[in-house]
Amino acid sequence: MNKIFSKFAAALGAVGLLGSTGAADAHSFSNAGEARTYLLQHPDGPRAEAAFRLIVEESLTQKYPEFTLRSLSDGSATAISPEPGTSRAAILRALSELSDATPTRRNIVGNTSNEQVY
Amino acid sequence: MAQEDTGNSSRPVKLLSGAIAAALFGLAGCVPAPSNPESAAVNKLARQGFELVSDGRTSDAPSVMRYSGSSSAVILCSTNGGAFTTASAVKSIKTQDGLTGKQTAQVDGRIIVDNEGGQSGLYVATVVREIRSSSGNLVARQIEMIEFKPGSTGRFKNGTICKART
Repeated sequence: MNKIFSKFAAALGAVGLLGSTGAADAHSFSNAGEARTYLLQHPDGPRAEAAFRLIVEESLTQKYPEFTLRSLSDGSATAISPEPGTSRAAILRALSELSDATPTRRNIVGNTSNEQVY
Repeated sequence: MAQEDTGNSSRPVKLLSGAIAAALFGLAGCVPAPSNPESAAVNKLARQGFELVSDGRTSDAPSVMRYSGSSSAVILCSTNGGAFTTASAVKSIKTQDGLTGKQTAQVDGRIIVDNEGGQSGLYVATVVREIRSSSGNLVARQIEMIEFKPGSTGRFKNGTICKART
């Protein structure tokens, strides 16, 4: 599995799917530690929100090392590492289906009908 | 005679009214003062799972609440203009190509509660989508994040709109 993750990182640039729509101000802090220190003394305000955003993003990059703070800075990122027999097109279709706000009942396995999906 | 009768029969009613009034006045002195609005807001967030990281309830400072966990407890979402309902934290699919997908959602929130119970701060909702091949290997991962302040909304790319549960 680690090999797959390392492939993700290598594939990021080639895939060209790194999206982003977000808040660059989170990166006015050099790291999450600096952001935490700021929050201790400045609980509220736009810069405090930027600090919190950076802390959340850094925790995501630690959990999912194929992503970087830079790749998450605009709010979304995708890493694809197809294996033999699995086409990139099929993977993209699956991602699209999974993110569809109105999925077909046939394909849904895990969510109940009275709950929203993202 | 009729007037006397009327007067006599109304006396118990007057006594009863006086007793009720006295009881109400007595109770008025016992009614607890309205709860501190900051405490009320803090308690409400705590019931949703927020942790109090800085307690300002006994001072002029605001209280700071922090949450990190399932989206279901703290946000509501609306799809295609429908009603805001509980946001499902997990969704799974199986495609016609033999791939399986799983989507999980979590929320990180850092909310500031002022002395009047007003809230500021930020909610960050994160969706992670993973696609696995028929052999179970991870072949793709996607992260999408939105953010919104208390009282406002955020919008995912698929149009789903979310807001804080109140």
